Amino acid sequence: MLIIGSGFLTHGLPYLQMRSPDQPPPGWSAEFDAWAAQTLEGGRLDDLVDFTHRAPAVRYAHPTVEHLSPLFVTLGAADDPEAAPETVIDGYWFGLAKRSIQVA
Amino acid sequence: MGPAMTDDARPTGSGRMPAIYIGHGAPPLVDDELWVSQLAGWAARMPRPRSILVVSAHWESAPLTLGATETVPLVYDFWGFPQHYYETTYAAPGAPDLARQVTALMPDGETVAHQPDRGLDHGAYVPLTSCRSPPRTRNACSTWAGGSRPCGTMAC
Repeated sequence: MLIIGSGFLTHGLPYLQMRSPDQPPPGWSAEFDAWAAQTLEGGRLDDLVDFTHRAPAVRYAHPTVEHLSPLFVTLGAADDPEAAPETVIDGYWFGLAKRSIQVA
Repeated sequence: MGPAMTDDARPTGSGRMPAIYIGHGAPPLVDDELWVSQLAGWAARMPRPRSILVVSAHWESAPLTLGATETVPLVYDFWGFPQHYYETTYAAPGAPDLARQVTALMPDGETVAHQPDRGLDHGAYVPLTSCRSPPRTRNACSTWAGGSRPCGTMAC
């Protein structure tokens, strides 16, 4: 069975002016994405779970949490939750972070 | 994501299946050549799954609810897009056995509701259709606890 957590790593729609798919990301999107990338790479689950307090720009990147929450289902499905996930897709789309990961 | 291409010769269920978290974009993702190629390439590198469990950001309910466990029309939960985005179809076979398995795995006292005729929303079907996956794989779609709310005009 394939488990897919489906969301968007940044999703600050109220703070986004959507112009084109390749527009540069706003600062809050790039900052949150970079933090998430580093935190995932380091396997720092405690930091991730406490993202509302520890992540930069979280108020703008996730004014509501439903697009990030599926990430935790995916991480919870890993055999070794502290093993670094593999980032398979990154970059931005309309300024939002496409970062998509897989765990073993 | 399942069988990634119609010429997919991989036997179902061969190899170890990862779990993934994806950005599902919005309906126009299907027109983004780069992103579609990234998703298709990813799906092609995976073993072919027997079934798919999608936890979608676009269906919040309390209690946890399992839907699309039979073949039902898609849910076009977005507004203000060109008409052709509302004409996508994806006749995924349901996975009632998987729904029962998920229900059994939930902790005692955790209520699980079933809404088999609730179709896949765009958080579920956009990535599945974007990687050109023919719907031969069985799907169940679960939801998040929380208040139900509609998506905005630029639902992503």
